[in-house]
Amino acid sequence: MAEASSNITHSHEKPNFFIRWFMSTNHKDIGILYIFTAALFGFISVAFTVYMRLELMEPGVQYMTLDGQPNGHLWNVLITGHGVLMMFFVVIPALFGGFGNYFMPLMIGAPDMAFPRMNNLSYWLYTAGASLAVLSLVTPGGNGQLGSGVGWVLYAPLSTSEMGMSMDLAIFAIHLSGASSILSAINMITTFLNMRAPGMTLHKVPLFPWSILVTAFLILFSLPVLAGAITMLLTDRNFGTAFFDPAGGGDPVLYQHLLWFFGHPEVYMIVVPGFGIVSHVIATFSRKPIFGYLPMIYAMIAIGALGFVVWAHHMYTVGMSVTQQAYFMLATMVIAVPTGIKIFSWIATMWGGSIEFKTPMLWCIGFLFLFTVGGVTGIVLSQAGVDRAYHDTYYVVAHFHYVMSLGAVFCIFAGIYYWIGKMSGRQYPEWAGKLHFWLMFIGSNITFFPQHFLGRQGMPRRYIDYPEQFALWNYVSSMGAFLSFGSFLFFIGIIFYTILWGKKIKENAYWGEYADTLEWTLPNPPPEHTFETLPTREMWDKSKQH
Amino acid sequence: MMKPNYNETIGEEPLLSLIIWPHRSCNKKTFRLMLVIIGFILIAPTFLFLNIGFALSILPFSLLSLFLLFFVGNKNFNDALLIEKLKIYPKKIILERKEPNNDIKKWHSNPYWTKVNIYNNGPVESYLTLKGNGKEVELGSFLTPEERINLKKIIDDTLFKLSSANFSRY
Repeated sequence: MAEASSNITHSHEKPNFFIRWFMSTNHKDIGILYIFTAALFGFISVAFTVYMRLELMEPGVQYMTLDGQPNGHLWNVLITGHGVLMMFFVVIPALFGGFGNYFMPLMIGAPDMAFPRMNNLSYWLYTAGASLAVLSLVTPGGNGQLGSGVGWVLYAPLSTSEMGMSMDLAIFAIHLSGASSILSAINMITTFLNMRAPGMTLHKVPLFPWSILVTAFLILFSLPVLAGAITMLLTDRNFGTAFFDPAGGGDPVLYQHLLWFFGHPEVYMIVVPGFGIVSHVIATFSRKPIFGYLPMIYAMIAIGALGFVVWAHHMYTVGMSVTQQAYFMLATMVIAVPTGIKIFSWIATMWGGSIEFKTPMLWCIGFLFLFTVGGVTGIVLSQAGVDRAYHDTYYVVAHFHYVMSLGAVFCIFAGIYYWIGKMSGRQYPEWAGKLHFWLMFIGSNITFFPQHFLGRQGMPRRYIDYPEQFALWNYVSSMGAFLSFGSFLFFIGIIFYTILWGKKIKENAYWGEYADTLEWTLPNPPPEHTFETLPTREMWDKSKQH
Repeated sequence: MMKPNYNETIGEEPLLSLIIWPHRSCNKKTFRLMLVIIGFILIAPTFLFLNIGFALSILPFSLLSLFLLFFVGNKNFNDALLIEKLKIYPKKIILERKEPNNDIKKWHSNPYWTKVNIYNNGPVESYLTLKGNGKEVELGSFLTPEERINLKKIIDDTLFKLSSANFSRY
């Protein structure tokens, strides 16, 4: 029999620093670890781009030289490092691992993730993978130099013929990242399905947990394909198979199909959790419930589902039949419909609302603008005929940076400013947050908008040098990159200032009554153990009050 | 969650029979249906490409993911297979607790001497216990505080009814 607790006054022993941060099974601590680790690797990755933009500021090769000669290998390594880190180890871990871990269980009223130890394992697999990815940049690679310069997509035959163990380390890094993501996804799915508060039916779950569920399914369905593809790369490199080698009966285009079957859903894995954050922030600062709650959920599901049937629009030029191109073109354009539903629902939420332009709201409005620009250029690129001209030009670079570098990263910043008071118990200085926003908004637009012009002029991507004709917009773009980097450094300062000296906030729902999900019923920061007693319906169902 | 079953006649049948189990927002049937759908989505497309051969590289990863989801989902359900059964007879109160590992623990007491306590400084809010036969045992620690308060009322009412009936006999 479960005897009554002999010690009626119950207290949890506070774990020491090492146990709390290195052996943590607490979803909130693991969420914070994900965010800080992603920020660290994000800084490394952004530093690469500053160096690259410095090199591209003027025609000719000024900085990346070896024995006085242009060092194209170094350029390729930096491009690869930036892509691999950003795609696998920065944006998804911050949004899905960081905010997902911290806030999804809180929002559904669960005491923790379904499998806290597996959660810990996911985090450390991610950290090991990210460390291997960085290590791959400084281990012997191709051209007798360090690192591998094959691009984040690891296209065969480049990746199968690149010398040295750097390439193998990069592949292992992605394997570990995939294992981590699949474990996380399974944990999130089980938590979401089994551990919602009493009465919280699927159509009553807040939008952020929904966005995490959709992302978890995207990971679950696409990561095994990537794992299979890169395992084939490994065996091609090390065990004499010829999956992607035409000389042995293989097909390098097959690798592209497999990679993009994962790669396109990857874009949605990056941005869908951001959709969830944006929905909450816009509702909170418009002082209105979100417009079209159900269409918002089904639009996310539709975006996720459609994401699996459009992959080949990344590879129109590989020699597909016209019929295949027509299909992928039409399927791609269909994605604009659910995306449009979301954009218009956010605008409708703001419409007639009592909008407060606090920092998180500014990031969300910035996101709406930038994501729409990125989405519209995506529709342009979805045309197989037009893509003939734009393929592998800076137009594509501009497009996907508007969607991901600006769209998703703005969501991360929105989330950080929205919840930092909840996570740390201290609030950032409002003026600093706004200054950071404007510096970043202006800087990133100056960086990436001119890249549309460069693409239209025909400047190809992935090159260390360019002719005089492209000099002006490259110079402008580099200036924007430096401004954005400056704003990033300023942001790091804001975070440390906030954590150490920020104003303490005592009110639980400090953004007002429309911050009405369950995390706002908790103190700032929330105690180590939350919702061990299940929350009641009145705590989360505010539909009657609004 | 609670499922009370009252019996108004005081005899060999229990006066109150209660089954209590922890809250789960998804039932096993729905979870299994979801597993079948996920399994189909993960595995079926791979079979279309078996003739090319590369499917054999992807299939192990798909199967592994599916197995993991099946395993952890089942474990999550089994971990919640905690059931407490409370039966109040005229001369006996019996509490049976089935643990997730199928261990069954029993406690019994005389209803006349049994005390129902609720503590506000317990491990959980409104911590409910039954005290009797030299032991104090917890009841419904996985319920919500409101449910425990409600449960105390149900047990108190039954015990009161029982003592009133016993009293009226004399």
